[in-house]
Amino acid sequence: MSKKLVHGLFDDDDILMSGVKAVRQKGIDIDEVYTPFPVHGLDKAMGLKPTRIASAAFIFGIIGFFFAIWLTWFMMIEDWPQNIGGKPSFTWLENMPSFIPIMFEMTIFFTAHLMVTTYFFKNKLYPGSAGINPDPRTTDDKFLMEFFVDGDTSNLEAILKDSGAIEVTVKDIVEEEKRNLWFKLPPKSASVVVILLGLGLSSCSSDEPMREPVSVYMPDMYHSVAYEPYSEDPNGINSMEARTPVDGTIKRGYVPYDIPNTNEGYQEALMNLKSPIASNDENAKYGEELYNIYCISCHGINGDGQGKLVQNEKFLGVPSYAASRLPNISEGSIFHVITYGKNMMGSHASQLTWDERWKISQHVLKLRSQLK
Amino acid sequence: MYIFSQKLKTLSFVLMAVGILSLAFGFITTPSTVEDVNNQMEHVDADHSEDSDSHETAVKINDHHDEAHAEHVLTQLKNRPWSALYVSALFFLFIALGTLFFMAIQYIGQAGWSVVLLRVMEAMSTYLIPGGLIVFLILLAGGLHFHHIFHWMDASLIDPNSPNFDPIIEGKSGYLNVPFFLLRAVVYLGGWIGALLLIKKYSIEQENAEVGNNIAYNKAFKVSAIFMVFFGVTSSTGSWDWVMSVDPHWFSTLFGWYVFSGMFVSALAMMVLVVVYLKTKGYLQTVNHSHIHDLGKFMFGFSIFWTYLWFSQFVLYWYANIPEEVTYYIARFADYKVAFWTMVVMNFVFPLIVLMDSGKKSYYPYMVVTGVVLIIGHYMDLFIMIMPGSVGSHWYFGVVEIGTFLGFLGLFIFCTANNLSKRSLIAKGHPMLKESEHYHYYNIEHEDH
Ligand code: HEC
Repeated sequence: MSKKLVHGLFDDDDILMSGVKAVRQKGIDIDEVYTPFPVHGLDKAMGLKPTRIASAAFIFGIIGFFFAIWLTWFMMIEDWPQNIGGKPSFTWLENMPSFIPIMFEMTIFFTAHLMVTTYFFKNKLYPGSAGINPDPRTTDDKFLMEFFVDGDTSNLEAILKDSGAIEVTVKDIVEEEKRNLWFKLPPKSASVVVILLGLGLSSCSSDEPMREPVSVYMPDMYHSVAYEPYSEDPNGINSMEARTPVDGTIKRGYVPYDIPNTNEGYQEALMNLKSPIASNDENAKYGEELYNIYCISCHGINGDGQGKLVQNEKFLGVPSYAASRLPNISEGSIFHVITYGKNMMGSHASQLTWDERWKISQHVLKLRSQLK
Repeated sequence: MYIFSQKLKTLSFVLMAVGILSLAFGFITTPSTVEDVNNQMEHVDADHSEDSDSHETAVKINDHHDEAHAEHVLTQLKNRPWSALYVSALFFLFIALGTLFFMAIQYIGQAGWSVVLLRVMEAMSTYLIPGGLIVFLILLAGGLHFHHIFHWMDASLIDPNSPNFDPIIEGKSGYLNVPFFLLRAVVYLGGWIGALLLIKKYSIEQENAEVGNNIAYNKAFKVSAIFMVFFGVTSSTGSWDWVMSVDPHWFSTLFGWYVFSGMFVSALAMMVLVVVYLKTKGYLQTVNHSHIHDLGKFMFGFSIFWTYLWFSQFVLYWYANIPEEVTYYIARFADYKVAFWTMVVMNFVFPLIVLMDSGKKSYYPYMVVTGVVLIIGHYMDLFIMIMPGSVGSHWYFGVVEIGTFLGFLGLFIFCTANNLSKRSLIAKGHPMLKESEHYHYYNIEHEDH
């Protein structure tokens, strides 16, 4: 005997629920129920196992959490150590507070996206999959119970009718015959092509300015009424919004440095510039702390020129401070170089104050004396 | 009808007695003169030199203890019993206030599920009256210079001719001055208690109204809505006044929400304890696992919200490292480090792990344990908000702190139980009572705990 497909159609969710219970009471398994909206308690009545999507979500979250730990460690500590705002770099734990937002976002991101993806795949809702809804009316206001039955169906038909089905249909299933689809999707390959084409076209932007949007909501947020910091300003000096400081003034706490950034200046600093701060343990200790934040990514913790960036081959040409390598440096020239930079090394004057630079110079000399 | 059992009555009186005795003990053992302080400190130094075996250090430390320092220590020591009293008083006031907020939300949201809990909320928030009075008296005592929890109240700080002159506090004196401070306290407490009394009154009117007559319910809705606007402002300004001004140099713009989130979580936790207690005594038959489950969801969500605010403040300070801001955490890390991190674990890690699972939130014993931990955790949070500013490093968690906490717990129990016994336990006549009785969250299966 061939398999049969039985459909019972209902027009009310309460009647459907009692129908489901009646059928299940007779020991008959329901294969599927199609409803236009979620009917609470239906899964229980049908005897479905509770979803495990929550456990899946938890696992996805954990994966995202550890991914973020790895990501921040690799990007910010291991591969290319970054010094942002003078925070203690180079150990993940000390920088951890700033990574928490990333760990949080990654946890949520992985949970949400993987959960939605899992849900779609579990329900065969990925692009190109054929719809399986047997009756379009179930997307509107009808409810449908579906059974695949071996053998006699009259008993089932009677139960369905009794419990209030407005329509009961029985069909033979012929093996080759595909399910009667109420909508036909293009074949998988076609849909993939369409998606790729869409993506490709969207990337072909022209150099022409975009068309004006039809309407602008809250234009003040797009077009600042005030002048932007670096925009032109007809009222400003030199027609610029940003002003240069008044001649002859310096910012608070700033100590001017007169020696120019030239070869002669370098020689001058090397020969004649002497540290004005006391050379004591306290200053050296502070200098070491700052050195370990600002300099070790290139120069290495011993000053041997083997910082992480050098080891990872991101940055080359960093000399060791050893006298054999740099015979001619003094505390003055070190200060000069920190202030102005030299060739590939950038200026640190904007990050380190005058006395901080002197303290670091002290530490560099100490490292130099320890290097062979 | 709930009957306030003799046993519980005795318990609440015993707790209150413990509170009063420990407070008295705290005041008696506080040194009253600078000499006492010096004696005490020498004592400590003597102990110190004995085990370090170096007489020199002891001498050095003694030199350090000059007159000004000893006086400062004396102020802090004198503040200690007052601060212990204040933290507990404020904590329980916040529980009542958080409950009132929650109740108002139920009316504004026209929530159906929570109707069976309304009378419990009404009883719990009635503690606002005695609790508010006590807090007000403590603030008044500060204004009369009985204690120096709010050291900005010292008039010499805003006197330009005084050596103590403090321009920052002077700049804030338009807001932080004793008369205005007390006036605000009256306004806050008056507004909250007024809303509470009105909501309670309408709740009874609704109970006695004919079926289908919802005028009283609608009035409660309106009062709740107005209260919510009032609360939105006063919960923030109240936390500036009563908590943040203990560190008067420092300010934080999210402080109001931070205090609020802690108060709300403690209120929910206390609500769970009260409801489960009543259920174990056979009352509140219509409250089911789904109601507790909902309270659990709120507890979970707002614990995370608390963490969010805590972290938002912490990480910005850590990152920017601006001196006038980080002092707040420096004070807390210097002397309260262990307590501080324990508190963060109790209020964040613990509820995160324990309350994540959906099903578990409906088990009574489970929720009771969680509630107790959260209440202690948020008490510690408030403790660490107040103490660094008032007693500095001279804190410990001893007789006075535990005693006053128990004392206020006793008062809270008495007030709540007494109120519960005065009216029916279920807000009969509420238009959505039926919905609440049939409230069922879909995945809660178990019958018993
Ligand atoms: C981005 C990598 C980088 C960082 C960070 C860096 N340096 Fe350099 N440094 C270099 C390079 C490259 C040179 C070699 C410059 C040259 O001579 O071409 C150099 C050279 C030097 C020299 C020798 C200059 C001379 O007179 O020949 C000193 C001293 C020095 N650095 C000190 C420091 C100190 C102190 C810091 C931290 C404040 C620092 N550097 C940070 C890359 C770096």
